Amino acid sequence: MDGEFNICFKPRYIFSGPKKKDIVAIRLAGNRVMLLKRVVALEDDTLEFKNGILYVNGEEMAEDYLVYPSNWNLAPRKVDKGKIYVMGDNRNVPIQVHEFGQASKKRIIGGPLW
Amino acid sequence: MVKVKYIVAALIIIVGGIAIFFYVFESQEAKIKKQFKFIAEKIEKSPGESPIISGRKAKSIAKVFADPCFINIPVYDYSQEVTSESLSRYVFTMRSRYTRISMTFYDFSFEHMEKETARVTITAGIAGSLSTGETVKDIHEVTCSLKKSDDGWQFVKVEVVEVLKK
Repeated sequence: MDGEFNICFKPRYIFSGPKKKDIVAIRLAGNRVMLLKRVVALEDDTLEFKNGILYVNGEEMAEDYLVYPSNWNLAPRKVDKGKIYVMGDNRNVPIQVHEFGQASKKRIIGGPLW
Repeated sequence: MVKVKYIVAALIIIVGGIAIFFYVFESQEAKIKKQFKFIAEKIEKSPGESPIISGRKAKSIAKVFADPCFINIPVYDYSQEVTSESLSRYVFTMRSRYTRISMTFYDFSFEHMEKETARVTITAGIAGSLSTGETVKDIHEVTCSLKKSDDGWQFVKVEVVEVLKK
């Protein structure tokens, strides 16, 4: 979306679905505009943020990939069937401007090659 | 030499015939794409555009939309029918916030194409500079339903696809 060029490995999720902490390429629009996001919750999971800490199904999620801490708060929400919940790793921005949320699994194109 | 003349003349007739064929029998998909091009032309703004031109552009854009047209933008919690007049007013207000703006439509996917109705999903990109100096660049997938009227194809429903739902 920001014009950055990435190589996406399409067959990555042919035999198994995405797992938590995977980075996935999500089709944002058409065939060319993708978002790279990290999977933080799967279908039927409940997630919430309390003072920047992510809780999935009531348990704190270890996010060792984060560089900057956040102070986000987000009320609990359940991930719908056929969807995954994704976020970016850059959380040192206000929650209002960060692009995250649940996306249909059908929109997952694959994962980055590296 | 005479033979070459005949070949050239035949080629001109064939090329001309093909051009006329495509002009007369322009596909409905091409006609719909023209409506998107029309919107892009009317949205486009360069620095120094006069208010008269701004007014004209905002007014003329309404002619490709049904009256009313249903507009759904989940990310802004906006979902309602909009009259042509309101649409022109909204476009005028939106454009006035920008010193420069351009809109592009691509990746057309025709999901339904009948004689008088059509449904198309496209990628819509908007880029520009606000009067405050801030630059804006946004891309969305948009699904549009159109109907054919005496004035050509008109948008009856425009829905911005919500890819990430918080």
